[in-house]
Amino acid sequence: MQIIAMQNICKTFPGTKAVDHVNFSLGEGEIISLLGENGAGKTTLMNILYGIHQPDEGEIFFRGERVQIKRPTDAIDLGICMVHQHFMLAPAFSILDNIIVGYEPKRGMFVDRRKALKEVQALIDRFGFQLNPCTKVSELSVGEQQRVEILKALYRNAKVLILDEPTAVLAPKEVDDLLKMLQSLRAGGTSIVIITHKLKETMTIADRIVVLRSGKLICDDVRPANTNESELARLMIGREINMDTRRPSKCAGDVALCVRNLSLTENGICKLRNISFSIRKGEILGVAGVEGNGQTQLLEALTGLTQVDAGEIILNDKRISGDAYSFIQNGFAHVPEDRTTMGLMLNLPLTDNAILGHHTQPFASRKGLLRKQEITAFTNHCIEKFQVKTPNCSVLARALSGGNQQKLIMARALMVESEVLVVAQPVRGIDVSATEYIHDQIFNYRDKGKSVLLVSADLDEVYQMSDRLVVLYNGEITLECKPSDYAKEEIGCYMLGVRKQCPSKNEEDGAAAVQK
Amino acid sequence: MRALNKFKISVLSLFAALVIVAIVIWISGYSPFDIYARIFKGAFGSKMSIALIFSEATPLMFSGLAFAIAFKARIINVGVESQMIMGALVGAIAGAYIHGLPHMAHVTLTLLLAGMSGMLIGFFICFLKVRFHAQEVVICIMMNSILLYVGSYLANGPLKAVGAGVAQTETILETAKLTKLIPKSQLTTGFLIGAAIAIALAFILERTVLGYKIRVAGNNRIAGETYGIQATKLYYITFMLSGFIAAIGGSVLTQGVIMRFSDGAVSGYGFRGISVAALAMYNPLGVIFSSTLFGILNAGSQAVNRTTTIPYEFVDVIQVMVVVFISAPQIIQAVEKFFGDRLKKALPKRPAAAKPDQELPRA
Repeated sequence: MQIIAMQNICKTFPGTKAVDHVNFSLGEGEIISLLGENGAGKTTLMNILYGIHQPDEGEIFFRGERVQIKRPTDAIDLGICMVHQHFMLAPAFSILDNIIVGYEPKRGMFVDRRKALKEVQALIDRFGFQLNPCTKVSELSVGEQQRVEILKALYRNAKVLILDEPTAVLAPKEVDDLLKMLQSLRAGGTSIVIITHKLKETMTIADRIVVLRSGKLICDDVRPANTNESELARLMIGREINMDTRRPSKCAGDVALCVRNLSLTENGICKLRNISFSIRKGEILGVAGVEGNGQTQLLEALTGLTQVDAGEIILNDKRISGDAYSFIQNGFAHVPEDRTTMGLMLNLPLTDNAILGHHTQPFASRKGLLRKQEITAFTNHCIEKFQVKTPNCSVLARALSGGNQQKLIMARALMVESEVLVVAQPVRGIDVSATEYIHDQIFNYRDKGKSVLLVSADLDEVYQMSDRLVVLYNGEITLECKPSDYAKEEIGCYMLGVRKQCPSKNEEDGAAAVQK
Repeated sequence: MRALNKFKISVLSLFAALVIVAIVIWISGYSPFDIYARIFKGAFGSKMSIALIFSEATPLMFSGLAFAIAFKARIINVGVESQMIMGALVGAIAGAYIHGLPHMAHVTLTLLLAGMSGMLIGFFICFLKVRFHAQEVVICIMMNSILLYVGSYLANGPLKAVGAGVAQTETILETAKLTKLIPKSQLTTGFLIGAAIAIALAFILERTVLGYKIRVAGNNRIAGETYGIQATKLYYITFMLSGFIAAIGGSVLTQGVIMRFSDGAVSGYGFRGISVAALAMYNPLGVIFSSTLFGILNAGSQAVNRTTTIPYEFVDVIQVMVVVFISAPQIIQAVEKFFGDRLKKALPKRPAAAKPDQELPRA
């Protein structure tokens, strides 16, 4: 009945007890949702099961037999497979190659490609995916890549499938597809663990919910039928939390930022088509859309990282152009979409990170010399104001947790005077309480009469935060509306390009907004 | 805390290298204790030998600094060698053929001309890197060969000193020679210039906006560019700065030790600069100490070489082993953990012994 039992598992990392005497069990053909905030130890617990980490204490049983899982191959041999949050695929290889790698059918010393192709095709057909095994992975969307990861696990005869934050990057429709697929896998007898902090999906799909909080098991036998989202949130965080943080704008003023007819072509592919919108003072404009539909290019255009082919960006009647530096100088604050690659120097102390982009401001430097004391004071101020958890301001940015890193980046953007905040994926991979905090800060900024452009792949977030939203599909704005005028599901249809707002209405709305 | 940790790895790496080499010496049939004692005695035996320590350290300090500053921007300048040869060459030309300048002016001008020639090489390599996405390491290695043979050609051909039997240029003028700090030794003001450059670099890196930008570009180029710090510009600045320092080092050799450009006399310092920079964990101030340390090893081994038949190369092995251990800090950490665990196992007796002591007062 029980396929996996983990008993009394402990794992300590330098400075933290990541997993603290946790018992975990998984039944045959059961879907478990492993809930918890970031740093609660969900991923660590599953990494132990998958052989990436060794437990300090505790035992693992597979079908009642005690097993030692020293490395991922041990786990795979047992039929335990994991799909990581960051996919482990070689983009330059075909789907087929990615699926069979390490477990290639062989004929003599050669890979039996014909047999491999047959097997993989059979697997694809079984789930009715629209995938050609010879397509290169680099040409796939995120959702498709995830399917390849799951196929890879199934090709290895997975009896236990662990999915780490599987829905973080998916559009609502893709999420539905994924959940359906998981249900059909369960029907076939596969046991599934979903690591997540999203409550909605948990409620839809889980047979049983296991909640971890700071490394400890809080409860392991919650049934979705007997609970609700706010109770789960309370279990995860340990206190009540306001689930609906919607705060409409009180005082939208004149137009601050006006973007007209932006177009951009990269490598012959049209990434932005005639994008026009405007944001008023004291307003949050959300940009919804499935990733890869021009959001990155739009962000780059609005932060000076790329030069558009046509169109103009006007902030308070002043045309802005030039590089990232001149955008910052002209009142743009930027929170980039990927905090570790674009936002931080992980191996430099917090002080160096806090003044990135402000290093020529008078408070940070004078005549080319850094003002160490003022910089330290500024950093401490950021840490205090944004509740960044850190021993002091000279630790490396690497030492902070994801949520605290993001708080630091937010602090850096908001603690210095600016007119527009361009913020992308502000809470990706961040736990509920830090999310609440960061959203609050964005609202506060807006309530000071500033403009915000919020880009997120998470429709819930855009829906909840925005005063007005636009949907990007294939480089075009397919919908501009107030969140209250459309249901979330309807907006999802626009995101997937199923529907498109009629262009004349779009222009009218845009023009009306500009006139106001 | 962090600085301490780096320091610890440096010291342990050096220690581990000494142990490994001791084993090598022992296997080769010599007594490691004897040799280390001789090196130590040879290095600190007399005033002249102490002068030798610092004069041996001088070129290593320059090449170490050149490598370290480039590394701060994550540029691997293995072309330090080429820039040193260029500097030595230009120094020899400017030192021998510019007449009529007072001592101070001639020395300074010669150093600056040499430095600028190294900057030029740095610029060229960086241009290929930035403009054509060439791997700087490959270009650097090519430059090393090119400059080696250009120098060789000039010393053998057009610039060959009149009447000289070997391949060397004219001796530089008295006005171009660096002042000796200790008479009759090879220790010149070059050492002080190097130390001053080290201090200046440390200041630039930690206290100026330029240094901040270099560190940002070296640490995360994309983050820098997202916030308006253009990495390419900094690559140019850093590469040219690195070439400048290396070439001055070359010229210091010419103006302080060799007094001319002589075929092959400046080779090897560039690569040993990598060891020096690595031992200092790429910290400019640390380079002063790491180069001095290598100076001790060199000076000591020269003494050993004079008095015994023991091969001089043991010292090179030490320097190379240091780099191995520093580039793979996990070896040191593993060794530390191994001995740490043994120590812990050996220790439990102590708390047990301490307990009765604590209970005594209560009783």
